[in-house]
Amino acid sequence: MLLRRPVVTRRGPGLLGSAARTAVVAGTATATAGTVHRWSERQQAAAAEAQAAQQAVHDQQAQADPGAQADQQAQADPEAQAGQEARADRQPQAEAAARPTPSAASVAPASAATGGVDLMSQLRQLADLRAAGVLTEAEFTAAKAKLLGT
Amino acid sequence: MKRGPLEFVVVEFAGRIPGRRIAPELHRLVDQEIVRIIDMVVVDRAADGAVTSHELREYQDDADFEAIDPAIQAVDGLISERDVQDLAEAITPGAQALVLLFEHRWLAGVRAVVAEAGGEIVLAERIPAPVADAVEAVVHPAPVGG
Repeated sequence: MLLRRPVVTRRGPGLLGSAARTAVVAGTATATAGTVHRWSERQQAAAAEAQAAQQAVHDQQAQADPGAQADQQAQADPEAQAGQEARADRQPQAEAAARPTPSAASVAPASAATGGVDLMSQLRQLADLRAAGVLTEAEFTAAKAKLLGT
Repeated sequence: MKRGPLEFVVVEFAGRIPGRRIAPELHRLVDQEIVRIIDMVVVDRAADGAVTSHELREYQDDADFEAIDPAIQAVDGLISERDVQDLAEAITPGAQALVLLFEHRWLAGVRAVVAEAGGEIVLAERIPAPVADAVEAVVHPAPVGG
């Protein structure tokens, strides 16, 4: 027998989305950048950081193998990317109202010569800008895709 | 009631959820007051990506869910449909996942002690294990050829 429980409706605002919005409103987004990203963005950033860290290991050991690097690139999850873009559409637009809209491309010039550490710090900067509300979801996604060369 | 910090834990299985296997660990976490489990849903992600969710009460007379059931302190709807959609992106198409919402009681305890001592927790951030491993590999690289 299961415990007797009330019937629930799941119509709340959502914990993940609320956490992200609260950080923007409270102005704590920069301090907690990375803390409150919605799940898939966070996961993607984690994957990118892991990739960048692995890249740094390769650089340090001076054994950078172009084949292995291509494999890593191929592992970037295209589905998560697609999901994120889809979700960007339903982000509240009010947040964007008072915000300047810098060109996403100018924030993150992609460079084939970019090292792992540079890439990691650039990704962090992008994430900070997005968390602080400077970049919209779409701009962030576009800039990040450019940065990762995907 | 003032909540401690919450964390989603999503565990997927290729087949049915082996509740009797994981129940002892859930009961341990709850009994030792490390976490409360304050909401739970089962999420199916079909091979075509379609997401459906199921409530605990749909599993009457299912021994696996009967084993988990007493560890779930509440099923109060804090997990919203939007959360389910967001979290489902982590689930492999074709798999079924147990979505648990943990309240970290241990951190609430630390917060109380710190507050009493005149301090405040300003940030507590969890680093995913794969990132920790990658950074560790940079800080302490394995010897070449070793």
